[in-house]
Amino acid sequence: MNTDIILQLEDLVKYYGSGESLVRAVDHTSLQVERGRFTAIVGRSGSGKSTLLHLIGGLDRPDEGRVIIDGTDIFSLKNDQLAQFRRKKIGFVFQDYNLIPSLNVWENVVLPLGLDSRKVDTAQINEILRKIGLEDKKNAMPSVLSGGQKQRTAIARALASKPAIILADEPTGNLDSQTELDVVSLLKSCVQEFGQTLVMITHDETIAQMADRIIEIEDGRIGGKVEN
Amino acid sequence: MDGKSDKKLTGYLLAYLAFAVLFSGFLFSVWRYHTAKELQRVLFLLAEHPELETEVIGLWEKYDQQDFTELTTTDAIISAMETIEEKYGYRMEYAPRRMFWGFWCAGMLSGAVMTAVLGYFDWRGRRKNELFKEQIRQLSECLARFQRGEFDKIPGFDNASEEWMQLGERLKELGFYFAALKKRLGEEENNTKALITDISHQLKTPLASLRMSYELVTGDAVTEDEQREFQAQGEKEMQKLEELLDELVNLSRLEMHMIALKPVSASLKETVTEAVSRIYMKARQKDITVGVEMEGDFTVCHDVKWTAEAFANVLENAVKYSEAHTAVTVRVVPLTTNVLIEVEDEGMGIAKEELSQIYQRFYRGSRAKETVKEGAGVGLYLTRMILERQGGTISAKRKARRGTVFKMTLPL
Repeated sequence: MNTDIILQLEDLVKYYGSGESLVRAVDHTSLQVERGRFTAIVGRSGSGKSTLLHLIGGLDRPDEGRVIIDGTDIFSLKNDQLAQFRRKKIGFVFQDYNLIPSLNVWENVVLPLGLDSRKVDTAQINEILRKIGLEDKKNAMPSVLSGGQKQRTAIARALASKPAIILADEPTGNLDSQTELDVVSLLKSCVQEFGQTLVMITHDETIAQMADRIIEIEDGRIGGKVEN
Repeated sequence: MDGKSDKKLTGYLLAYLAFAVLFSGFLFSVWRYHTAKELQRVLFLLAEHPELETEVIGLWEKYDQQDFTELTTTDAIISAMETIEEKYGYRMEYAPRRMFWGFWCAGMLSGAVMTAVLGYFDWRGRRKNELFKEQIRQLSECLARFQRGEFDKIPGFDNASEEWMQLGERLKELGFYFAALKKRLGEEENNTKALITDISHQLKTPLASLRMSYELVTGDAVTEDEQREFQAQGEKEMQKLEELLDELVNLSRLEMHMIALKPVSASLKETVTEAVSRIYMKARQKDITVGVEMEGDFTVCHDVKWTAEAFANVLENAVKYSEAHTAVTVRVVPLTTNVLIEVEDEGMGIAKEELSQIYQRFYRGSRAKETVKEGAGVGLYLTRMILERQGGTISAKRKARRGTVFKMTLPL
C-alpha cells in the first residue's frame, strides 16, 4: 500500500443487462488517485462516468474488481459498515443538491455528523460556512436559497464531516456559467485548504481544465489522461 | 510465555492444595473437639445416673458393635443420646455432624473461588502489561521504520484504549506527512533536472540564430548593406534572448519556491491596470484596442507583483495571437466567493483538444507555433501557478465565432 494513493480502482467491471442489450458501463477500469489532488472525470453522457463514481462511492457494487479507499477495500465491508465508512471518509456533492427541505442550512450541514452521533465542532462548521459565503444564511430554509446557495450548502455538508475524499457528480449542472465557475473555484480552494481529495464528474471542458488531472472516459474505459 | 503461565498455574494449584490441607485439618480438629465433648457428656451422664449404665451401653451396643472408646462412632452416640433424651427428657447439644461435610465443601469451594479470582486478576494485569509492552514494541518498530523511510505500515492499535487509537491516528498522519515530504523532495529533484534540460533546450535555438547572424556579419562575401541588416538581425535575436532569459528566471524562481508569494489586501483595479500597461505598447503597435470593464474596485488578497505578471501573461498572449485591428477586453466581475477576471480576444483561438494542455510547461499549441515563432510556452504555466497558489483558478473557453475567453478567479 502506498500512502500517497488515497483511492485505487483495480480492474473494475460493471455491466447492465445481458445479451444484445448488454451495457458495459464500467469495463475493466483501473485508476489511482493521489491524496490532495483534484481529478476531473470527463466523458459524453452514457460513457459510464456516473456509474464509475457510484462504484467509487460504494453506492453500487461492482461485478468484479476492487475499490480501495485509504487502504480499505470498501466492498469487503458489510453493508452497515460500508455506510458508516462512507459517512466518515467520503463526502458527496450531487447535481440536485439533495438538501432536506424541512431543515435549515445549519441543520442540513450538521446532519451527517448527527447520524454517527459525532460531536459537532461549531467553530469548524462556522469556518466552513464563512469560507463558503453562507455565514448569514445559517437559518435560511432551502426553499428560499438560490441554486448556487443550495450547492454551497451541499458542499459545506460534504466538508463538515472532514472526509478524506469528496466525490462530486456534475455539481454545477444546474447552475449558470458564472455561478458554476464560482462554485468550482470554491470547491477547489476548499479541498486545497483542508487537504482533501476531489474527484469530479463534469461534461464541461472549462471546468475540467481547473483540475490537476483530467481522465476521459469512453464506453466504460479510460480513454485519455492529461496531467497539469 | 507458556512456560511462565504454566508455572504460575502450578503455583496457584499448590497454594490451593495447601489451603485445602490446612482447612481440612482445621475442620477435622474442630470436629474431633466436638466429638470429645459429646463423649464427655455421655460419661458425665453415666456418672450422674449409674442406673442408666446398662441401658446406655445396651443401646450403644444395639447401634454399634464396635468398642465404644473408639471415637469414630459419633452417629451411634448421637442416636443413643437421642433415645435416652426421649426416655428421660434429658437435653443435650450434639456436634454438628451432618453439617460437617457441608462446611467442608463450602470452605473448599470458597477457597477455590478465591484462588481463581486472584489468579484471574493476576492474569488480567499481566495481560494488560503484555498488551502495553506489545504496543510500545509496535510503536518503536514503527518509528524505526520511519527512520528507514518506510511510511506505510502503521500500527492501528485497534483493540487498545482511546488514547492509543489517537496515537495511532497521529502516527498515521505523521506517516502521510513524511511520505508526502519524501515524495515532494524526489519530485522537486526530478523537476529541477527537467527544468535544466528544458531551459538549455530553449536557449539553443535563439543562440543558434545569433551565431548565424554573427557568422554572416563576419563573413567575407557580404556587402555593407547586408552586414548592417545582419547586425540588426543579431540585435533583435539578442533582445529576444534577453526576454526569454527573463521569463526563464521568473519561472525557475517561482518553481523552486525561491519566491514566496506574499498576498496582501490590495486594490485589484491597480493590479489589472498595471498588467494592461505592460502590454499596452505592443497592443498599440498592432492597433489592438484594450478595453477594461470594471465597475468600482475590489480589495482582494493577492500578491500585487506576481498577480500582475499572471494577468499580463494572458493579455500578452491575447495580443500576440490576435490579428491587427481587433479588440481585447478585460472584464472584472464579482461573484459570491470569488472575483472573476475575464480576458477576451478575437484571435486565432485554441483547438478544443489542446484546451486542457496549454498550461503545461513549455507547451505551445500547434497553430501558435506556426503563426508566431518566438515564445517558450511558459506564460500560461506561470499564470496558473501564480493563481493556484493564491486559491484561484484559470480556464479557457473557445468563443463561438473566433477568439478565446480566459476566465481567472481569485478568492474574495
